[in-house]
Amino acid sequence: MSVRLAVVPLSSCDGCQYNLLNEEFLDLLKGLNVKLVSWPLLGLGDGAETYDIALVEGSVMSSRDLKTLLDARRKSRVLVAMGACALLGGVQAWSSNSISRKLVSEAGFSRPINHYVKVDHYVRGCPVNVGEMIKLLKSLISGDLIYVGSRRFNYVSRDSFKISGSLLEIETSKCVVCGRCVEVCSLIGARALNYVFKGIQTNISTPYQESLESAGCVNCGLCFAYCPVGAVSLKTRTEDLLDKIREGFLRTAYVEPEALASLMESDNLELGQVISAIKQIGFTKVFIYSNLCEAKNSVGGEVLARSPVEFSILSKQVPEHSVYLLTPRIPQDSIYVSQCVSWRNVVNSLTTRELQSLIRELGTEELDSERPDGVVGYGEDIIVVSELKDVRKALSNPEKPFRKIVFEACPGGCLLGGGQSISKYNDLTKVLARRRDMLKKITTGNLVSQDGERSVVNCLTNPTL
Amino acid sequence: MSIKLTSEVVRVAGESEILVSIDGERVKVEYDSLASPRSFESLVTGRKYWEVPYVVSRVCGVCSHAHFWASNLAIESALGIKVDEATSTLRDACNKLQILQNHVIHLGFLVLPDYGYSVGNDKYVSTLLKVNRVVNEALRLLGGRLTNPNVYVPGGFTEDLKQPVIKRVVNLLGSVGNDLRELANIILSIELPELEDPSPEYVSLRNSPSVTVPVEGPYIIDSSKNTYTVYENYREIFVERYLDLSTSKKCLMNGEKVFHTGARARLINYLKGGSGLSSELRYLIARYEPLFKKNPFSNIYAKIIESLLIYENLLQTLSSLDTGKLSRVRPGNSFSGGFGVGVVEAPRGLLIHYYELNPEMRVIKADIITPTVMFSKHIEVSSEALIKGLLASEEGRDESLVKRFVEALVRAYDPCIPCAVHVIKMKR
Repeated sequence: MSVRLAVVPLSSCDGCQYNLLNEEFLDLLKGLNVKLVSWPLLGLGDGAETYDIALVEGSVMSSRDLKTLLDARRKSRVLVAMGACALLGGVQAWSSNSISRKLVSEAGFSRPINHYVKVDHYVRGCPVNVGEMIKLLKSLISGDLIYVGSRRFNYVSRDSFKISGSLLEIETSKCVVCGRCVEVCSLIGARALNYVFKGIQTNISTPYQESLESAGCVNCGLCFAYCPVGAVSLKTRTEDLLDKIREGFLRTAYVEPEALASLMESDNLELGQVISAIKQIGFTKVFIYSNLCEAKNSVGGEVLARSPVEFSILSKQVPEHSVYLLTPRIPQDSIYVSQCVSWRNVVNSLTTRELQSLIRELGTEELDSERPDGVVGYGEDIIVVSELKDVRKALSNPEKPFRKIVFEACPGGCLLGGGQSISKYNDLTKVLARRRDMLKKITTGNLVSQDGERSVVNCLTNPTL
Repeated sequence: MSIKLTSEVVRVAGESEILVSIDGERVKVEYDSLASPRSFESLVTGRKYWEVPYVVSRVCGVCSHAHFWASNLAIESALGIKVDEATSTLRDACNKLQILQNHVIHLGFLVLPDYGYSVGNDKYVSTLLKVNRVVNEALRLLGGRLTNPNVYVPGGFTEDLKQPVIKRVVNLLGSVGNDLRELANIILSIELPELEDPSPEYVSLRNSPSVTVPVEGPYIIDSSKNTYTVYENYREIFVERYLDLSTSKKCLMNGEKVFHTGARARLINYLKGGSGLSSELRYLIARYEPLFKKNPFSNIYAKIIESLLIYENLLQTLSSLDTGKLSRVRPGNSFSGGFGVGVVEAPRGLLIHYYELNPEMRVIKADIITPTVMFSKHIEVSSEALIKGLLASEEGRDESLVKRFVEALVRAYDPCIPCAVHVIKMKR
C-alpha cells in the first residue's frame, strides 16, 4: 500500500513547488513508496478521494483559496504547511502593514493557513527547506515521529542516544525531559545528569555523553526510581537469578526490613504474607536481615556507609574521616533482597522493585501467613542520618552521645531508596509515613533488640518530586 | 455550431483558466488568471532601496533571479551606480542558469506529457532529472539559493566568490552536455500541430540571449523591424488597456500591436546580431527559423535550442570569468531622488522594473511589467486562430479535441501566473 501525497497550491509564488521538483525529492518519493496523487503543476489531480499527506503551499487570499484549502483538509490525514506563505502568510501578508494598507484596496488580506484549518506540521523557509521536508516525510512515513504537544515546530525529533553505566542505562528516546532525574541526582550529590542542548532539542545527558560512572554516578538508582516513563532502566539480571533460584543454587533469602516494609505498604500485605510470597518464588528459607548489624565489626570506621552509594559519596565528600562499608555477610548460596540498587556489584542481590514484580506475577491473593526462619537485628547503638550536612554535624559533635553514625544518602532514607517498590500513592510524605508504620510493626514484633534508635533526620518532602 | 467551454489549465506555473466561446463563425478566447493579486508594487512602497530586491524576488518563485536582477538594475540606475563588468557577467550567468532550469523543467515535466510522453518513462525522466540537478546545483553555487537569491545587492556582490567555485560550476555544467543534447533530440522529434501565427510581432533585447541584459548604453529593444530605446517612456511602448469589452487588462506594443516575447522572439531577433556560435547551433537556428516565424507552438523548439545556446555561452563566459575583478560600489551620501528602469530577459521574455526613490532613498513609486502580461493577448489571438483552423475540418469540431489543443498551445507559451498577478487583477 503506497502513501498518497498531494501538493496543494494556494496564493504564492510557486517557488516551493519548483524547489521540490528535483532529483533528490522525487527519488525519495520513489524510495518511500509514495504515490503523487494530486499536483496541478504536473497535471495530476482531481481523481483522488483522500490523501495521506497534503503539502499546502501559499497563503489564503481569496474565497477560492479557502475552498481549495478546506477541501484539502477534508481529504487529507496529515496536512503540512509548506514554506513561509502557508506558515506565516508570506511576503504578501505585508499588505496588512500600516505602510501599505491604504494602497491595497483590491487585493485581499493574506492569512496563514492555520487561521482556517488545523495544521499538523510546519516546514519553514522561503523557499521551503527541502532537507527539512525530506526529514519530515521520512519521519511521517516510517512512523518514528516524536510528538511533543502542540508546539509550533512539533516535527523536530530529538537526537536519541543511550547513556550507560555499570548498572543503569538511560534511553533518551523515551525521555520526556521532566527533569526529575536531574533533580534527584543533584539532591544526592552526584550531579552526573544534567540538561543538554537548547529549546526543543533539550535532552538529559551526562557531560559529552560519557558513561555514568565517569560522570560521577554513585549507582543510587534514584533516577530509575523517579523516572515516570521508564527511560532509565536497570541492566537487570533478574532472569539469571531466577534460573539460579529454580535450579537450587540460591536457597536462602536475606530480606532487609526496609524492603519488607515497603513491600507491605505498596501491595497491602501482612508481613507473614510477604514471607510466604517470597517462599513461593523458590526460596526455602527467608531471614529478616539488616546490614546495620554489621556495625559491630566496624572497628576504626567513623562513619558507616549503609551501601556502596554512601561509601562513594563519603569518600569524596568527607575524605578526612574513615568510612566503613556495612557489607552484608551472608552465605554464598543466598540472595540479599535490598532497597538499594548498588549492591548488585558486590553480592547476589535483588531490589525490592524486582521482588515486587515477581510477587505480582505470582499473584498476591490467597497467600498464607508464614513466619520468617530467623531475624538478624540492629543490635547496636547507632544513629541513622540521611543528609550529608547531618553527617558533618554529627562528626563535629564533641560529646558523641552515640557510638556509630550510619549514613543513608537517599532522600527519605532507605525507605525511599532507589530500588524500592512502587507505591500506589504519589505523595511521598504519605508513603514514607506508611512505610515507617510498617517498619515499626516489623521491628516490634520480630527484631531481637531494638536498642538501635532509628532517627531519620530530614525526610524528603520536596514538593517538586 | 455553438460551444462554450471553460478549462482550468494544469501543468503551468500557477492557476489559470481559458474560456472559449464559439458561436458559428465567431470565436472568442479569454485567458484569465485564477490566482489573487498580491500587490507587490504597494508592498515595496515606503521601503528602503536595499529591501526592494529581496521583496520583489518573491513575486515569482519560478524566475526569482530575473526579478532580483531587474530590481537591482533599476535601483542602481536610480542611484547612479555603475557596476563593473565581472559583476554584470556573474549576474548574467545566474539569470541564464535560471532560464536553463526553467526551460528544462517546463519542457520535461509540463510540455512533453502533451505529446505522448509520460513521467513514468524512465529513460527520459532520469536524463531530465540529471540535467535539472546539475543546473540547480550550479545555480545554488553562484546565486546562493535556487529561488529568492541573496548574494548581491545594488552595487555588487556581498560575498567574495572564489575562483574554484566558478571552476566547479564549469565542471558541473560540462558533465551534462550530452544529456542536454539527448533531451534536445527528444524535444525536436515531437510533431507540432500546424498553426499560422496571426500576429507575427516579436519583442526582445537586441543582444539576447547571448547576454540577457542591455549592454550598449541606453536600453534598446528590438522588434521585428524597429529599435526602441526604453527608459522613462517604457509605459508608452508597453501599453496596458482593456480590449474587446474584456475585463482583463492586456499589454500592447505601442498601444496597437499584439506581440510575443520569450525564447522564440529572442531567437528570431538574435539572428541579426548573432555571431560566435558553434556550427551545430547555427545549423539548428537556420533550420528552425522559418518555423519560429510561422508557428507559435514552435516556442517549444525555441526553448530547447535556446537552452543549448545558453549552455554553450555559459561555458565560454564562466571559463573566462575572473572573480578577482569583482568589486562593490556603495551609494553616495548625497542623493536628491530619482527613478530607474531595469530591463532583463526573464525565462519567459522581457521583464521591466521601474522604481522612483525619494531623497531618503525610499521607494515612492514602483511598477513591474512581466512577460506573461505582455504575451497573454498573443495567447488569446493565436488560440482563436487555432480553433478556427480546427473548425474548418470535420473531425476538428470535437469539443474535447478543441480543449486539448488549446491547452497544449497555452502550455507552449509557458505562462507564469504568479508573475502575471503581482498587481494586475486579471480575473473579471
